[in-house]
Amino acid sequence: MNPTKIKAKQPIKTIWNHALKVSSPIFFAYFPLGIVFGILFNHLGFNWVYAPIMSLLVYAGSVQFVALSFLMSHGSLVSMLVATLFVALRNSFYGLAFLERYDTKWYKKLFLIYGMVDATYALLVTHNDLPKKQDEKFCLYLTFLIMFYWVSGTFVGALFSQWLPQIPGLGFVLPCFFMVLVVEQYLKLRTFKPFFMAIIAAIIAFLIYPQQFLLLAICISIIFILLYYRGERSV
Amino acid sequence: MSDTQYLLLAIGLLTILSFVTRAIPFIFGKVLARSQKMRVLETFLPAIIMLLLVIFEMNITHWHKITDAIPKVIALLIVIVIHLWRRNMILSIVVGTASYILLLHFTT
Repeated sequence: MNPTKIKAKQPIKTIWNHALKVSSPIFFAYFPLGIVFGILFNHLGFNWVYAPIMSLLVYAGSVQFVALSFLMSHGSLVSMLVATLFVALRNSFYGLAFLERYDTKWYKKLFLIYGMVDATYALLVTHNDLPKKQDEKFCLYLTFLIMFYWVSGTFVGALFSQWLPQIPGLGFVLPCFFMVLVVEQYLKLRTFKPFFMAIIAAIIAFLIYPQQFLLLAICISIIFILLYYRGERSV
Repeated sequence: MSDTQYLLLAIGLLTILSFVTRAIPFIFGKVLARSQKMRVLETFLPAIIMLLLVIFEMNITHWHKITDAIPKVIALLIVIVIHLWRRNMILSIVVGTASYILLLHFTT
């Protein structure tokens, strides 16, 4: 992922191709994962078209998988909401990185907020070197493409659930993807401190409450950062 | 309530939930946006969240024995080395995933 140089006057197509290239690894993660969701959804016994509709509207992989287990048992909707709330809450921290960057027309902003999932957040935080006008288009295209990978995967999975082969280990695309971004973050920051904080926070979160590992670890990390950099003015 | 109504209600509620959780910082963040603390968080939180997502995706709670970790850890180390060497995102991910699939094949 070399820092891409896009000059100020570039046609829209170039930005689209850039977004396509940057998001392509996510195709190999979200498309198969979408297929898995589509297949599992079919076990519920509803009409298959509701699977891609759910992926398009809810658009939150982990929330949808958690919700499946409640829908499977016709569980109460209140308990489903409580369980999924804690899965979804981690997204509440993602927007912090985009408060100024998403300062655009309201309908574009709504779309960008609605489309902010793990991969979108991770890629946009890593690729932030375009001029303002181009960057807005880049954010919109990238958000759309990643959503498209997930929804089309669900569509294919739900429609063709009987005939699809399963490749064991393909799901490992996702940790590899985030690992690459960890390396990119290191090359940008040139310090191991945040990674030490993350590992300590992860251990504490696992010891306290492994079921809510991610949300808990993010909260602990935020406390670490605020305590450690309290009073420092050089950042 | 019919089955389909139940499903549609669930989808509707989840849609609202996932949008609201994503919108929270944009509703409350305006006040915070210029503060020093936010600057620090903006700089360091992405690195932390990325690493936490790696750990999260490893599904540690589903490991039965410590050897389950070996192919995952080796594959991730390969990703780090390849990425520092070539700095090509797609190459790193393809090699990392392929090594994991191979390691999984040979260790089970």
